[in-house]
Amino acid sequence: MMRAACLLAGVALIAACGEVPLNKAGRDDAAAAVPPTWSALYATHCAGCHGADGTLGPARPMRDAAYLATVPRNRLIEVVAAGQGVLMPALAQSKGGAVPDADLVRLVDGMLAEWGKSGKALAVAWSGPLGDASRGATTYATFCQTCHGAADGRTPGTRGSVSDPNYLRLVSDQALRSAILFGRADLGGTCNGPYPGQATNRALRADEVSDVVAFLAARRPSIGRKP
Amino acid sequence: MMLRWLRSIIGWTEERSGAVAFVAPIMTHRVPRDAKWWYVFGSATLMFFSIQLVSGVLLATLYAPSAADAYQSLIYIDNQVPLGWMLRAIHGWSSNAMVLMVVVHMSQVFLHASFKYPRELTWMVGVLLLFCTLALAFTGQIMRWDQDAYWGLGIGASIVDRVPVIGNTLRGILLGGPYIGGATLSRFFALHVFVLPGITIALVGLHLALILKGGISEMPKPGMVVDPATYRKGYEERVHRTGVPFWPDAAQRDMVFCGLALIVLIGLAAFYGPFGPNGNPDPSNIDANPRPDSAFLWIFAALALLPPQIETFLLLAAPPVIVLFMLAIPLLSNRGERAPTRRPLAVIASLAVAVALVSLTWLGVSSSWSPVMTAWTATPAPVSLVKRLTPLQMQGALVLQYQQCRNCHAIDGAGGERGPDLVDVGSRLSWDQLVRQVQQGGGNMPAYGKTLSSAETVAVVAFLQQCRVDGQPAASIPGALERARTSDLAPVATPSASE
Repeated sequence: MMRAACLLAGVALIAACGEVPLNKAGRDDAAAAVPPTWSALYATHCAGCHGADGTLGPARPMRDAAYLATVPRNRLIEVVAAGQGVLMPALAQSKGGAVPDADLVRLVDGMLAEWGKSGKALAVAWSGPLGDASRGATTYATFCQTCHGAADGRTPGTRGSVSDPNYLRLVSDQALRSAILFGRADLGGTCNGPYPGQATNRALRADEVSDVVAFLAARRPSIGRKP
Repeated sequence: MMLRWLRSIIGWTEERSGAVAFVAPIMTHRVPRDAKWWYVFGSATLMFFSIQLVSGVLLATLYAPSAADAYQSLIYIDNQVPLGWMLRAIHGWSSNAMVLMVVVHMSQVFLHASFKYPRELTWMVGVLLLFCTLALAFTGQIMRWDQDAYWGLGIGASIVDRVPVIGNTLRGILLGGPYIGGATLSRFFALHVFVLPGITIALVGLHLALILKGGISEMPKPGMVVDPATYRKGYEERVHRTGVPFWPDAAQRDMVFCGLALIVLIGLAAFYGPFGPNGNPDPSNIDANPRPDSAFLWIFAALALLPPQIETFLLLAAPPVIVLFMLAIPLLSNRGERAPTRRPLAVIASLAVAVALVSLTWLGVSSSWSPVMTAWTATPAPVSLVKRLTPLQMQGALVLQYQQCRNCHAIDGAGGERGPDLVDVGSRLSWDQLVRQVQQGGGNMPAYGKTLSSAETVAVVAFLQQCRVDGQPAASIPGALERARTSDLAPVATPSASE
């Protein structure tokens, strides 16, 4: 028993001496040298709102190849760093967030490489000026009303109102435009056609998108912070 | 030639000092034959204390005991001194091991009723050694001079401050002034390095002397009762007749156990490294997440969970009562049966204390009363819920994340545990109750009325109303004018109101 214990102690000490670095910096080097992966960054800083695997969160799905192929990389980095609208926080340390700037770039590049590689950019520009609100009312009634109900709230839609004043106070014009362009395929919904119950089985044209955004923006109450 | 020369030196020294003549009877004193593996924990405690003394002296040659330099000196020891981090790791892990061994040793002594006649004083000194060990561990945590140290001191100072009449004075004595500063570290350094080790060494010596005087207790047997009138004579007869010399018969088991414990200690130190330092002791750092060392996690949990109404009373009354009770145990029962099978109350009490300590320590580790600071960005909203939300309710779910509600509130078990789980809040609280709770707060929840816009409040309440277990209707007050469940517009009477 005694011999076995001594032998074991000797082996353990020799093994330990072979592995033990002289200083803690050396000991931590291995861990510190490996920066967090983009997926680890996503899981820590994004999954809460955008979904555990990039889909089925309350915020826009990031695992959306068309979205990632259409929106410029610099714009994505800008939004992640500085936030957007009312409910997208700034993540960059330089903007008061918790993530080093270099990590943010790696996060965006990781999403683009993994989730955006098969994407094809939309023909309609991801961003643009507001269109004509009165034309937008007609377009809304034609293409959107079946799912989202009448804009005056009298006829409910199957997927909830997007003309609710409180909803509109929380989403920016750009968020409305993105929602129309890219929809929520993860939830089984698309705003890019075909449209249920409509004879016109086509996607919205660029001017129609701008018009609908203008129509909805015009219904936003002018109180509180502008999203 | 060499051997003869060595012998003559030893003989010369022995003739003048009598050291061997003094130590030999101690090493070879007879101990009960059945004193086997149950009896190794005291020796292991002594070994860890010895490691603490040696590693502590070495650390003292490197550590700068000033408030301005202490933290940086630890960084220096970790990163610049060859194997300095290992030295700190061994000191830290050995401290934990010593606390653990003291507790295990005392539990064994209590369960075997070894504190009974004639070993009452040995127990009492052991109790004092327990508190010395805990005091060494606490003051050692202060030596790290990091966030844990700062807030640990803050809690200690606020407890002392509650003592009636002299609380302020006591706090001043504890901290070396009205607040935590350089004088605080100086006096805790003196306590940790001079006062407490000195007292502990003296008490260890007394403890060992008492063990030699009273003898090592035999393994308890049912029916073998302790009677002060006859015990000592009977014990000496039995040990003389059937006992074995401490060296080498009993000592070899101690050495084997200590050797194994040492291997485990070195393994833990090498694998997990030193404790802290965990961030500068800066009170303005709002990201601080201080935690006490493992020996005090149960106290951390108990303090957090004490009902506020009796908090001060228990904080001040419990420690002296516990100390006095532990000291008085051998006076309350110093005769009779020693076997655990004949002392069910003692066994049940030991189990209850063990369960309480383990449970409180676990609660201290999980600290469910503390928010999970990353939940708002890292814990997704449940997919089953997201799938049935309207656009407004989606925004409400985002408000819930953005305002960090998830840090305190879980949804279906995921998130903080400080507040109630929101998985069924929609069937527990009506629309108006949800609005009131969000805007005015209540219980431990802060009021968000000035933080949220009206749109955010409506959105988050619309979302919360959807938080219902399948089949449960939304909560409502019959007859009350409430917002309709399906409408995003103005309040109307619920269907139940007209029924």
